[in-house]
Amino acid sequence: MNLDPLDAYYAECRVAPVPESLLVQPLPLPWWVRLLIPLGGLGFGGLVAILLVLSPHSDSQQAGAQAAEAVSRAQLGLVMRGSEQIEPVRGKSHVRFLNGSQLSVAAGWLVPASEAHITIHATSSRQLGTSARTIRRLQVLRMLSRAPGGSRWIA
Amino acid sequence: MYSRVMQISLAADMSRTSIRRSDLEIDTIIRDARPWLYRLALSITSSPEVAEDVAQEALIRATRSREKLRNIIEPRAWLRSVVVRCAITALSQRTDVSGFGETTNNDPTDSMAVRQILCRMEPMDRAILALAHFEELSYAEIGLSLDIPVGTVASRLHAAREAFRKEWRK
Repeated sequence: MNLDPLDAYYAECRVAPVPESLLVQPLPLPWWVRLLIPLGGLGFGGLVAILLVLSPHSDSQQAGAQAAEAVSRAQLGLVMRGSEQIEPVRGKSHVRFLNGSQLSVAAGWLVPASEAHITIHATSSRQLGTSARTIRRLQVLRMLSRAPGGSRWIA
Repeated sequence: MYSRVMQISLAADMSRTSIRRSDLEIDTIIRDARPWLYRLALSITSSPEVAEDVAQEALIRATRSREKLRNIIEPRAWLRSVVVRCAITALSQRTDVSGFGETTNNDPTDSMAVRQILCRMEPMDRAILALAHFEELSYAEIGLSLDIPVGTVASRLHAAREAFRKEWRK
C-alpha cells in the first residue's frame, strides 16, 4: 500500500483555481466596526445598517494624501469577502453587487482628508446575503486609486 | 539533536531583523502569496469555501502585521505558519465531519474518498500531512510552522499516514 491517492489529492490542490475575491487587498477595520459586522448578521427584521470606514494603508502623510486623491476622484471600491462583491459606482448614489443586485446607499459619503466614512443602509438583509456568515465576511475593503474614468479592481 | 538544532536555526532565521522591506515589497509579498495561501489552505481543509475564508483571514493578519513582515527574513515561512494556524482553527470550529466541496478531478472517486478520509482526521494531523506532502517540508520546518517539537512531528506524521492507509484499505 502506498500514498499515491494522498499525493494525487495534494497535486490536485496545487493547481486548484483561486477565487477572484482573494485578489482584493484587505484593509484592517476599527474594532467598533468589527463589532457591528456580526451584529448585522443576527437579523434586524431585514434592515441592516453597516457603517464602513475606509482608512488609508498606513499612517503616513503620503498614504493620507493618496487616499484623499482617490476619494476626490470618487473611485472608492468596496468588496465583500467571499462570493458577493460590491462594485464601486460613480455618483455616490448606490453600489451594485457584482451578481447584479442593487444596494441603495442612503447616506452620503463624508470624505475628510485622510479617511472616508461610508454608511450603507441595505433595504433588507437579503441584499447583503441572508446568512450571518455572509455578513461577517463584510470585512475586506479596498480603496481604489485609478486614473479618472478608469475605476477597476486592483489585482 | 540535529533536528532540534536545525529548528532553532530556522527560528533564528525567521526572526532575524537585519533587513527592512519597503511598503512596495510587502505589498508584493502579500499579493504574490495569495494563490499559494489559498491552495495550502485548501490542501488542509479540503473545502474551497473554508479555504477561501482561511486564506482571507491569513491575508488580513498579514496586512495587519506589516511591520513584522518588514523585518522577517523568511516571510513565506511566516505566512505559512499563519495560514496553517488559521486552517486548524477553522477546522476545529466546524461541527460536521462530512466531505467538503466538489472535485475538479476527471475521476472524482479517489479524490472524494481521500477528502472524506481526511475530513475524519484531526485538524493538526491534516495540517502535518499537508505540510509534508503538499509543501514537502522537512520535519524541522513542519515543527517550526506548527510550533511543536520535531519528534512530535515525526510521530504524528507516521500515525496520520498509517491512519490514512488503514482507512483507504476499507
